Amino acid sequence: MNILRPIQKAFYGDDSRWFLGTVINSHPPAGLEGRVKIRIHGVHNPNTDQIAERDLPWAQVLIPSTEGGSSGIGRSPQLVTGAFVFGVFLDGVSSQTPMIIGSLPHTEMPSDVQSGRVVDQSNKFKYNTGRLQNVVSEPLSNDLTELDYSVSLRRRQALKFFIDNGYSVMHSAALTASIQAASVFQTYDEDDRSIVGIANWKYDSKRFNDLVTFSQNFQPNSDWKRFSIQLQFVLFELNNRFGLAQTKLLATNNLRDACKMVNKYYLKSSNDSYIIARLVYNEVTNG
Amino acid sequence: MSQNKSQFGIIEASVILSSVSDEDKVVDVRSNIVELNFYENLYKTYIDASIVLIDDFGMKNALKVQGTERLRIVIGDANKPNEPVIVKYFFFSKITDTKRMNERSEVIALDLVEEQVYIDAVKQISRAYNDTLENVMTDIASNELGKGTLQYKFDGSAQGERKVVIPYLSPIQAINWVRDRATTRTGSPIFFYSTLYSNDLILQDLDTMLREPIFNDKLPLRYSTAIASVDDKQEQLRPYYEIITYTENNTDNALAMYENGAIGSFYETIDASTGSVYGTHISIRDIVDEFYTNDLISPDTLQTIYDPSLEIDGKLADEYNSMHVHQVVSNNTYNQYLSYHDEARLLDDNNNTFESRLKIKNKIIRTILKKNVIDIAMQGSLFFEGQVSVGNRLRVLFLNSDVTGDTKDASKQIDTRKSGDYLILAISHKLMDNRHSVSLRLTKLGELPQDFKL
Repeated sequence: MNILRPIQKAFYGDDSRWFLGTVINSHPPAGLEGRVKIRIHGVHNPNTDQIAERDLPWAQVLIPSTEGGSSGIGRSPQLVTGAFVFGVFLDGVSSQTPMIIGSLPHTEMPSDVQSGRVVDQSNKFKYNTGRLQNVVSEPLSNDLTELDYSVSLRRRQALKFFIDNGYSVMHSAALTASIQAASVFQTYDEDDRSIVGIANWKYDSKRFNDLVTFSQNFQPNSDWKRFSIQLQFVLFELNNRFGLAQTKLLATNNLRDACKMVNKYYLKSSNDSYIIARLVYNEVTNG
Repeated sequence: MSQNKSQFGIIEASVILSSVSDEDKVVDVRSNIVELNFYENLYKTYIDASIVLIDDFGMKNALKVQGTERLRIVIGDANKPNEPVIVKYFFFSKITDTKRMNERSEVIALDLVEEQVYIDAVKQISRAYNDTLENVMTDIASNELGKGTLQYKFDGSAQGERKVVIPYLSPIQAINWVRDRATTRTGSPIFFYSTLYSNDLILQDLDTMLREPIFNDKLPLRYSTAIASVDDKQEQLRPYYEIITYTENNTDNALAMYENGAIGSFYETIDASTGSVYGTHISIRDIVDEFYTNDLISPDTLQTIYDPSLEIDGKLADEYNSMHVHQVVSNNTYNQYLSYHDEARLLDDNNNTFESRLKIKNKIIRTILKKNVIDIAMQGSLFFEGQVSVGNRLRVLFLNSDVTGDTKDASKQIDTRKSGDYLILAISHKLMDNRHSVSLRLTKLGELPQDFKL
């Protein structure tokens, strides 16, 4: 076994490790286009109780030299969920930064559980789903822009969205509750156009224009008024322009501080969303 | 040689022989012990030990059967058996030597390890953590090795919360891997180690260790033949300060520091997700200046790490890049969470984030700790009585070699360069013939403070 070090070799290319993995998710969030989420055999425990899907890396994918190789030019990787891939770790034995070189055509066979040879009796798996059972699996495609939406449904959708995108339950609850306190999840108001959207963007401001552009780039003919688009844009802002809010939020270890950071550094609001967040959090953890 | 005045000794030594079918059999071996050694190391999460004992109760045969026999060792003041200083359990790991004494008994030498080493040998973990690096370490120690953690004046690592996926490592390998990535805001290493005086692991950073008071500032350790003639009071204190042997170990190996890029180097990070390349020169001068700024080296103390005025071809030595380090990252691999490799985004006083370069600074500081290393041996009274362990600091004095100098002013006889406040990196304890002796590996960053009084 090699001795693991944060700086393994002076030149990164002198320490490599190849892998085989399976694509688990080929629909990356905004900002990670072209990446796929993979579970690497021999590195990532197949037990989802130990390494859940949300904890797996979004691996970059190499594309052929016949493509442009520059932002916005050429085609994107076309890997789909279930693809069997080959790649290398850019960080060698530390195995945190996978890059996919290509995929291996393969014939899919039913698993032991699917074929009935083994009965899945994993209690831990049941426990985990039980813990999050109050987070509805309502698809975000059901995110009509009508005004008579259900606040509780959107709250659950938002919570699930943030958890699915890797936030802890606590941080997801803080984000969800703070957005609810700011906008009650209203994506637009025909009568009042000064402030729009779930994060209270100022109409005609740079951020609002970015939202419109984002929605057009995200999906063809996509409407910025859609709840799912606005959630994606919140995530995009946290990962980019509002990186400080992200850093501050992730540094918190209690719900009250997490709410404060979201309100202060992202929503720029003096709201106190802690009580709502407490309810949201309890809904999930006491389920 | 003077006698060891310490009252501390082995109060109990019991071998617990496990059996699958019967209850544990406990054998008192205190009187059988010929020699007992403990090895504490700042870089290890466990204590090593070795024992030589007379086997007249069939222990060797028992070891062959199970291999999980344990030794319970209790050390303390014989007059206060209910207040032991050390209570430790060790597993027998292997027989290193045997010598037959007569038909019914033999002398056997065995290596011992703490229980967590045995547990470590049977486990490998592949698990994701979303937490601070110190919490990842303490979680693994608690859940995988059954060890609690003591934190003393520890403010937390500068890396903050991040996503770490352990790629099938044993628990101790995983802890060491995470520990080596964790630093303070200055880039100083964080240590997670075991001592004789606690069954919990200790989590502490170098900065805190260097800010702690010197343990023996009233009675520094001394290496001098001149202390041969002393009064009775001094004679009684002698085991507490007299250095018996002294050897220098890689001292002043400045060349190795240049070769390892510790004096001046170029550090470049390539972000594969954006194609951006960020490179910067890093100098030991900045790191040492930070040591002074943060009171890790006292302002009135001269550092002994490098020569700040050395020029090569008309250019300061630390301005050269004696090593080019190129690392690759891929930001956002774990969504919004920083990964193991990402540099910490620290906040300055105005809440602006800045790139910290802590990974390379940490590598340099670890090299610095190898610069002024000495080994000394002395009697062990000070250590058990004061519970002095790795991570503590000791003041050590050496006389200078100028015999023509001022012999009336004692302070002028001190070799200020060699003397100093040393950090204990490792301790080897030896208990034999009712005596306790220690060998220490020490390192220091600076000379003695100028206001030092003998």
